[in-house]
Amino acid sequence: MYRVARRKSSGRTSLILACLAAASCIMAFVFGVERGFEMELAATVSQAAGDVFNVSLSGKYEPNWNLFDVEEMATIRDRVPSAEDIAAYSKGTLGIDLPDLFVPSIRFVTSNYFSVRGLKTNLGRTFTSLEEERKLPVAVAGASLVESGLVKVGEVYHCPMTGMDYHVVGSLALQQTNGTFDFENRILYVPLSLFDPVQINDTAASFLRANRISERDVAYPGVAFWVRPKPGLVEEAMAEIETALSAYNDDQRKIYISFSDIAQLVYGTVKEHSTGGLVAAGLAVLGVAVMNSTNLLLLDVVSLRKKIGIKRCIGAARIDIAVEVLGRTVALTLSGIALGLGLAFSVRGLFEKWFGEAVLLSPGSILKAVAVIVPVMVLAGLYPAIVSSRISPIQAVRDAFAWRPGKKHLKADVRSALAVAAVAIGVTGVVVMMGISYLTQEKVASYLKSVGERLVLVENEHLASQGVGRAPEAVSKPGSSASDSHPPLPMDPSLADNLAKAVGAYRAAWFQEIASTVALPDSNQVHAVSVVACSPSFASLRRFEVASGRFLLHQDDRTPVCVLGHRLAASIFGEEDCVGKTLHIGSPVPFTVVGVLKPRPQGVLDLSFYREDSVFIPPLSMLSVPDLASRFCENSKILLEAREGEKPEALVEKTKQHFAEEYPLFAPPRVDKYLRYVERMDEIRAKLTKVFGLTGILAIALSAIGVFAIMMARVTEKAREIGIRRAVGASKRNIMELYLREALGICLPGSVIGLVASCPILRLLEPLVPITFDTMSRLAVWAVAAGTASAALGGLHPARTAARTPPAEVFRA
Amino acid sequence: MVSLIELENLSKVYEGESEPVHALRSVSLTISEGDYVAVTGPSGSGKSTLLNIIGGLDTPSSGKCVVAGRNLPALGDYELTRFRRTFVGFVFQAFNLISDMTLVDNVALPLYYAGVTKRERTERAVQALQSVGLAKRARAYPSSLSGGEQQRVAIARAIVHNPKLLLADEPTGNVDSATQDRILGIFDSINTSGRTIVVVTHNPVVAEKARRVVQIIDGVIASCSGPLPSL
Repeated sequence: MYRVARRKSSGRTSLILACLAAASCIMAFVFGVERGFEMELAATVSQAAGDVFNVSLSGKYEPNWNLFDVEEMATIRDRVPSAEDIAAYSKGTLGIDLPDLFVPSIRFVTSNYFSVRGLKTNLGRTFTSLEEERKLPVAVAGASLVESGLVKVGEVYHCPMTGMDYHVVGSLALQQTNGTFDFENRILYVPLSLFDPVQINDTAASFLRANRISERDVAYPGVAFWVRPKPGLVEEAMAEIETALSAYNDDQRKIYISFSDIAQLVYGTVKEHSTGGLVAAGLAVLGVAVMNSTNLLLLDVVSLRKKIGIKRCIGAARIDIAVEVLGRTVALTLSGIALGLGLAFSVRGLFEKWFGEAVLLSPGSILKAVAVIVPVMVLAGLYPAIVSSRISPIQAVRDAFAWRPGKKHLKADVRSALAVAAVAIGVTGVVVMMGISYLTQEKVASYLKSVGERLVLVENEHLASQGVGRAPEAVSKPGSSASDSHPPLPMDPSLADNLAKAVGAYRAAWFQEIASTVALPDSNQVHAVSVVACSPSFASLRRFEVASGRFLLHQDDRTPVCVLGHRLAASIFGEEDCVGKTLHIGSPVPFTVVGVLKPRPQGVLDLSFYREDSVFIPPLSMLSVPDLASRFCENSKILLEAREGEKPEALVEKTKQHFAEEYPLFAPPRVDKYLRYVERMDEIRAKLTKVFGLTGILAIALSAIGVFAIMMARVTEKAREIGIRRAVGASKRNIMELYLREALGICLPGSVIGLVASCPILRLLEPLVPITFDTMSRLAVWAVAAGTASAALGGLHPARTAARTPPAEVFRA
Repeated sequence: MVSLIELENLSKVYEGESEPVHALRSVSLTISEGDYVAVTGPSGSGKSTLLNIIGGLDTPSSGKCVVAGRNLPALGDYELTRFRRTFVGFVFQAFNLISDMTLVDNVALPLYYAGVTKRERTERAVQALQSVGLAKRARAYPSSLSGGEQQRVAIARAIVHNPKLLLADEPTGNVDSATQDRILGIFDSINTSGRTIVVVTHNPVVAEKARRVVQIIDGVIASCSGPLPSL
């Protein structure tokens, strides 16, 4: 009998090791994938800016409240050891871009600003720390300032807003912008040591008054930071800077950390999703493994209670027994972790090949996994240790292995509860993982739907790769590339329709975005806006909806009418209906407002937020505005929409081919899907779904091990009952059905609990996406399927064993 | 008299730890329908093995075992299950009631496996309990009963499906003498109703109640008070 107990005990030991090995392996993978994923993504999306992130303050009432103390800058570097370098900058002065008046924005920066942000000069140099220390009036000009001739390198520039003369020591290479504003290229950078907001505001106020521009603060008395983290320490640097500046987090203000470009914004969003999902996956597997291990340890205690009783009889104290059981738990945990890590290292290659992403099993990720598993397992081992220490020696010696009718088996209810809990955790894991997958899919789909997933953007290569607003001839560097040796294709509005016909697109829209200003006829107040000249179809292509009035029509062309973005309309006209009213767009010509766009809720992925501050005008109406007319077609673009059922990739190819054949003398424009960042996110989501699926299967397999263990114990304990049933006429099938039903009895409540538990977790992970009835029913199906799979996997063998129990053997035993 | 059980050169060998254990050695025996046979012998002589083979719970290593015209060693598991369901009722020394089922559910269990509807099996189970004097406790659980009462419930379960053959293994081994008399009285009435009873016992009082007594020693029939089979 004792030998049987030992054999069963070794079987349970193997199961515990299997559970812990699987949990360790998956935890190491979770941390490894997260790290690898992070690195890979960062490498994919980081451009010149690298991992550099911006730290500013967002206020409750003022969204851009960059008000860190200037003095803070001196000490911040010491408090953020994970940062390679930190640069500080002021918000800068107001830039003015009027038809007859252009004043660049002055940004006060530390001398390391350029290296931190990865900004290179194409002429001259940046200023030095010594120049900054000595408060020398030196400046570095943005590319567009030099190209426009306003600022010349080596000469002095007098800034009317600050009233100072700056010696321009260099100009920066053209920066890529997000395609709407050329703001970054129009800044004059000067040393932060020259920053005196009070003086600047005084000087600026007189200048603004003299030019009939509304008075306002132009220099805010604080700084924001750009942080370049040490390689691979983005998270750490973010956490450290948040701690260092935590005093600024109060009920009015909050520290705001953001990446420098859209790709990184997408990266941040995806990382947020991946982290939540991966941690949920890892915790699900770990939870199931811990429940199972506790259950198996408890079974061990039950089956070895005679041995424990004997030890107690011959002098072992309760604490001795408890320590022994706990020691075994720790030994098993460490062995399981060793096995799991061995497994992780051996299957890493296969996993990477299948998943397509790197798994970094670094000491850090391994330590993280160990640090999570060991304490959890020690806690889990406490219960069996306490149970074992409480076993009555006399009773244990008397009744070990003896089946007695009517006697409750030791801790049978607890064991069942643990098995139900294991299944519930496994099901929760599966449901949460599938839920995240569904909800992210819905989010991406809804975004794609809102902006049109069949759109293709055509723009000249120099605009796409080097930024907007640069004169084509300035780009040309003979012989460097095909696109450089040919002039850019002039894109006038008529090209859009011709192109649509030629490539078989469903429809097309021409548009051009230019930074300008608008003002009311009798007001001195000027608003910086993005003027979008576009064909009428632009609204339907971009899925814009009109709140009042209408969008532009073909007959509007050449007439001074405009449509306003919702936020712009509100800031100029307040709550009143502005349709029919007039305003000036960068010139004295009055434009009549014919419509206002509906606001659209902005998510992190909504990259078109500039629309809210835009003014839309007909293409040829640009010609009536002198300042805009001179830049007509300079950086125009065409949006094409593929026909229903046609993939945008096919349209991209056809369009490229069309340009190559029809316009061989021009540099081929860049043609790409409009939403490539979103698609990148969708690709990542698909990859995550793979990982979630794998961990889901593992969680269910581990749940099945729990069910298997508990069912095998039941079959052993109820062997005599099985014999009786067989004796009174039960067939093997009857017995099998009975035990499969019992397994389902464990798993289906587990499914229900898992489904219910997953709802708040999903809410927490995806607070913005509503869980629809459709999604919920799909998740319920997953929950039931996962529970049934656990029951089938874990219950089948015990049920077969029960069915095969020879009744005569049972009675003979 | 028609023979119900025919055993011919029946042997059963178990795999022992060091050497095989011969539980039965060439046992030949015929039991007629309606007979009441007591099988006696010392512990480990093979009595229970014989009972299990007759009841289709165990299979012989060699020899012939024909019960109600069926050669049991030749039957598959399904046929053996059907055989037990319809022809045999078991009474065990340790009662072997299922602890988490009420008395009526315990008694109705053979009918459940025979596919009888719930209402009918409850009615018949209550009747069977009535026949052993425990109908009033039909909804009680086994743990609330005395050993004698549990054994009467076990007998009710053994007869609820009207089997032709009742096999009892030390049915009075765990009960007092008053209960023993009551159980033997029940067996008498069952036998009177035409059912065949084979009872394994150490107890001479129980053996005396039987019409025939077969003594087994070391797996061999040492004596038989009735006719031996014609070989």
